[in-house]
Amino acid sequence: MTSNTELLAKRVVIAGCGRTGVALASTLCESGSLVQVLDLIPSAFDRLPPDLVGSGRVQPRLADVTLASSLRGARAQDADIFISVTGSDSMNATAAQIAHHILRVPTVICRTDDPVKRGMYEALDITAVSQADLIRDMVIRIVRDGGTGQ
Amino acid sequence: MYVIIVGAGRVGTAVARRLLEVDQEITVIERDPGRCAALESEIGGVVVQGDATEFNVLTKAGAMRAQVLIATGRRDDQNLVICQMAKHLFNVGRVMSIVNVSEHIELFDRLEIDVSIDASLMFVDSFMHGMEGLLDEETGGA
Repeated sequence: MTSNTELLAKRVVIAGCGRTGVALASTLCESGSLVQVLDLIPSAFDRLPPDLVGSGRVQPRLADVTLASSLRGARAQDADIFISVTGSDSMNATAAQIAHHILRVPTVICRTDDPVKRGMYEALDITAVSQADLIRDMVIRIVRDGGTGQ
Repeated sequence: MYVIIVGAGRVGTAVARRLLEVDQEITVIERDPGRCAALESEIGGVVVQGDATEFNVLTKAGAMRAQVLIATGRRDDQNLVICQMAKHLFNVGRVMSIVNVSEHIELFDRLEIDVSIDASLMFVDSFMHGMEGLLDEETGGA
């Protein structure tokens, strides 16, 4: 595990309670952040670890992440970090740009599956992470290191 | 002038018809194959089937040489991404969009979408106009 001390006590809002959102919520919570996870579908929250939800360190909240009013209702404007990781590239981009331009969250990170759009959002001041790029980089590294995965 | 219209719903189709009437060059991008076929049989081979949030689909539609792009989809998040791609990746001179949820107008304006049209407000204005002269006069804080 890398050092997560720099994340300590940050307030993080995660848009999208899919596999990525849940994994991020657990890890950020372990490193001391207060995490709020937003989703439009109540059953999505079933994926969250019950102990973290029970202790209040991860807070599920119903919200339409493409609406500024809904994000304000979740007090996303008070977050230090906003991460949009829903299953839709367009929803992620919209949520991230609301967080950056309207709610003025200091750090905004957006998931996109499309490397072309990643470049565009970077140019527009949004930090974007592309799955395709990440998988490519990991695979290339494994192949280069002789297929050990280490 | 070369115009790309995204969406072959009622609005997209009406815009396409009007632009053809005034002899402009157009391409319509539509996801649904059935709608594509219907539009093609009406106005000819100016339809590209596909998802306009994909770079390749915009490229195929000739976004590189389009002066205008009009997004008429039902999902504002997709309309926004399409307009941003047209503007920033293809250098389209003017990008315009329907905005289905009024609240999104602020974001579209902030992100410099050249023309964003609040769909619901448009109807309100038209209905209000239709009631001109019939509305009770304001009494000024009775």
